[in-house]
Amino acid sequence: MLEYLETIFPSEALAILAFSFIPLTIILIYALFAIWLERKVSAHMQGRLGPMRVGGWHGWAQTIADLLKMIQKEDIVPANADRFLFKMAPFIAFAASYGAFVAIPLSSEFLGSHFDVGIFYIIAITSILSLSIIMAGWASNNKWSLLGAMRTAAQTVSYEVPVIATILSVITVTGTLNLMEVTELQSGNAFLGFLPNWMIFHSPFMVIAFVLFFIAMLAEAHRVPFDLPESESELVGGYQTEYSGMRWGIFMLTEYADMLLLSLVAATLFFGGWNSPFGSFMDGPVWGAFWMLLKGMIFVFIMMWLRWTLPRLRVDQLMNLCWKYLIPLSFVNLVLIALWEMIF
Amino acid sequence: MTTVKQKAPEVSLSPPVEAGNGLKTQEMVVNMGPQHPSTHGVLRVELTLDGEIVVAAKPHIGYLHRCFEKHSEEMNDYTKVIPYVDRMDYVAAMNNEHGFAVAMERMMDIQVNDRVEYIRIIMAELQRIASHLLALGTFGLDIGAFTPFLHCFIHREKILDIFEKASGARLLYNYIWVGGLMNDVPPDFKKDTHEFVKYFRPQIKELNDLLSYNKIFVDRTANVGVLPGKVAINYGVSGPSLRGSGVKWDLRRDDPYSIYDRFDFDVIVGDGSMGTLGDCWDRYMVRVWEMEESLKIIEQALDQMPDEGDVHESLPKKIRPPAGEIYDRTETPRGELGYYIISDKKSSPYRIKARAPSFVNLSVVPAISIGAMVADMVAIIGSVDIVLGEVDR
Amino acid sequence: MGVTWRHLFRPAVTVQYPEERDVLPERVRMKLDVNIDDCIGCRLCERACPVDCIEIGTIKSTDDDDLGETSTGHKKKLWVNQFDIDLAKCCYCELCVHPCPTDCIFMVPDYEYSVYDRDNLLFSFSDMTPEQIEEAQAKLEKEEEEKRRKKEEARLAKKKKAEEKKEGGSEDDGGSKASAGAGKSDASTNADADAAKEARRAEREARRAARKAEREAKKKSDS
Repeated sequence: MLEYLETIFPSEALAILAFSFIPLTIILIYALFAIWLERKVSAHMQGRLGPMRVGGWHGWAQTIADLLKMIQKEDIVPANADRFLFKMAPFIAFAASYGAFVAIPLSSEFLGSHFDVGIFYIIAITSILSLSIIMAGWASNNKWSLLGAMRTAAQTVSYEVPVIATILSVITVTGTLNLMEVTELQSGNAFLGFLPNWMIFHSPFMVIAFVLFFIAMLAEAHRVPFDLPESESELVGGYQTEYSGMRWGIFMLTEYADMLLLSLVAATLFFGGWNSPFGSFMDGPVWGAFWMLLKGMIFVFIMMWLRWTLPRLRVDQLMNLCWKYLIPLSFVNLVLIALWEMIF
Repeated sequence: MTTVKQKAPEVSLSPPVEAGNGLKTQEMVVNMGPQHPSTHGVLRVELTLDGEIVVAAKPHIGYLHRCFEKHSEEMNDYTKVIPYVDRMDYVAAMNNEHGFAVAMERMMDIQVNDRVEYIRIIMAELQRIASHLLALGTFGLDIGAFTPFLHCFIHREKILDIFEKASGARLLYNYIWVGGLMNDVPPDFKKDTHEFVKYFRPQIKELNDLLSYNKIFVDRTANVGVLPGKVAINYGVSGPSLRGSGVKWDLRRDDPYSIYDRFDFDVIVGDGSMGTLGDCWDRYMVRVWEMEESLKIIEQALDQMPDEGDVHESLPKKIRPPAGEIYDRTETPRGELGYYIISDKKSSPYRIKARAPSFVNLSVVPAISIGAMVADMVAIIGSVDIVLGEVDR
Repeated sequence: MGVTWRHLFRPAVTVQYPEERDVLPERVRMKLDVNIDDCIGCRLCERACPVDCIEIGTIKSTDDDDLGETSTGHKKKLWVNQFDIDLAKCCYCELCVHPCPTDCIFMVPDYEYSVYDRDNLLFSFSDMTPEQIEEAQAKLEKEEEEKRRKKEEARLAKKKKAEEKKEGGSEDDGGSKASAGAGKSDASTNADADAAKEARRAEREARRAARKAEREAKKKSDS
């Protein structure tokens, strides 16, 4: 992909710039679509219709209208707030999310950077998200924001452990941290003769690993049932209380980008990434991107489905779940997978 | 115009406590303000927190006071009081009117015919189901489950459609008058109600699947806000909140009014199966099972209802009750609603006092929320199911 | 989870207003309307309203005016010059609809009458123009003036005749026999009338006294 772009653009720097904008474009278009999809899915699950008018067919332009409205809002910075931190926090959050996209292979030809520590890099960069949340909570000069931010940070940091443990279980099988190689290892239909060679079919413990990873992923992305940070409708709005207009818009964008990021990671690690499930049929660079995004969207849809079904966990129950159940289970699972790998 | 500078009210907090490492902790006073997302009305709860734990909770009411009792003294006809009575507990208006009519009819010694009684019972029980649906939906919403709220409202719309066909209004009916009804039910009332009963039974099961036995929901509500039976009786709690604590007291069975003694139904009590007896889950489940019982009563009433009878038969020409006073009570979805009416032979009442169940049930919230977390406060208030229109009148 | 999945495929219950509208039942209470031709000005609706949102003003019609009949057969005797309903105050309880003897006030299923200013919700149903109102008032005043004048004249005439009778009754018997006789008969009828009045008064007093005595006796016997 980069080579193709280099042939179009006059200088290499411009080509690299253009190349780095591709995931941004994908994220933006995806966010427009995903917010609309969320409203539609939630509406139909509740017997309603969702957006219907804006733009004609089923209100597809609703998000664009909301975006335009948000841009026009007054940019309020609280009087006693720490101005610099307050203004930087949303952008750092988005940068953290966006920076992780460099390591995800969207197709066999598209990978931001072929470095060998792909998945490790993703985990590291997404921890900056919790940093930006604390920044936001602290800089708002609001007791409740700070409280919400601390809780959120605690949640994010705690749930990184099961995420790492389950990812490790995949890495023990693949033997490499580079996501492109992980995906290439899952190509072909050798497993059981007809099933694709995906990680999830590798052993029954992989299924458990995937379930644990999915739950931990929900907590990382602050989705229900772990959405105490974003919808503290019990008391006040959490770390986002003092943000309005486009700054809040960027927090929302970060949340959806995070959802997509983690869905794509799940798809890459467990479900074959850009490989087609039918083997060589519908395979190729462009088809790869299609499969990747399709798998990502399926997980995003499941996240939305869960959001509108389950109630919210209380903070202490959340931490309870993580430290007493998910972490021991994920480590035990890791050991079992390693044993399986050694035996078979 | 000069404004007088107000002195900040004295808030008595316990003195800062040494917590080790040279750190001091102090309790924090926080306002769960008159506007908050849990839709129970304008209630202000002043919480004193020790970190995350609630040490004291003090409800402040009066934001919705509309002087209904004083207004009703200037009405020169008791029938004009009925729209005011509707608006007390606006979620369960038929039950309010029923209570008032029962009290007035006892005062004036009026006997209404059977058709009126049966229609009143069916309306009251349908309203009970509608009110419980709202309570359950908003309770789920407070806990974080967004979907059951909307599903409950879809069922509630069907009940409101039946009411609209009968009385003309969806929420505040002015339908049950002293001595009869405003007008007779439309011809397809029986068919509509039968259809609703048939439609609604499986929906209760679906609600249970979606919310009631959901592990997260049970974790949020079991063992939270435990109200022991004796404490409940001491505070005067009534209705599903009392029955959730195991006390088998239902005015329809223990002090029957109207024709409730002709029906066969169970009085549901909580059983503490998911936690302690008297926790939020018990109160919630009592409401769910009570909807089932109401369906039973409606079915029996529809079978027994006579087809002939003039609903305007016993409407008095001029309501002039004899001088004296009366207190009569009925069972609304929230508890025991009592009317204390003093009349001095004029056509307007001397005094009407309504003993609102939500007012009394709210008084138990400070007692049961000690030791709960902030997130549990919402669950507790939601499970006691108050309607501020009734609390403030 | 299965519940929400199943609901995803069920049709929605929302009605896309304003393209689709729900069919409302016929008894629905949406807005008050008055058929002013049928109003007889009895003010029963005004008295029945719990929030006092109806204001009615009437002018008595004169004897020679024929206001006609309502569609239900009631004879109209009052001009209704003001019939204001403040729909911002109205609580839509329908208590005004029931007492109306001619069914001229009723609820219509029109709910799309939002306004930008609350004062625009004051609906006036009277169809009398200011000139008509003035005319009716003037006529009524004239008639009352007439009546007053006639009464005054009659009283003066009676007084004069009484004085004349006093003067002329003692002097001229024959000449003014007719007049005296007339005067006498007048006087006698007057005296009769007076006597009758006195008698009636005495009777009333007696009855009152008797009732009082009865009440006292009853009270005594009760206590």
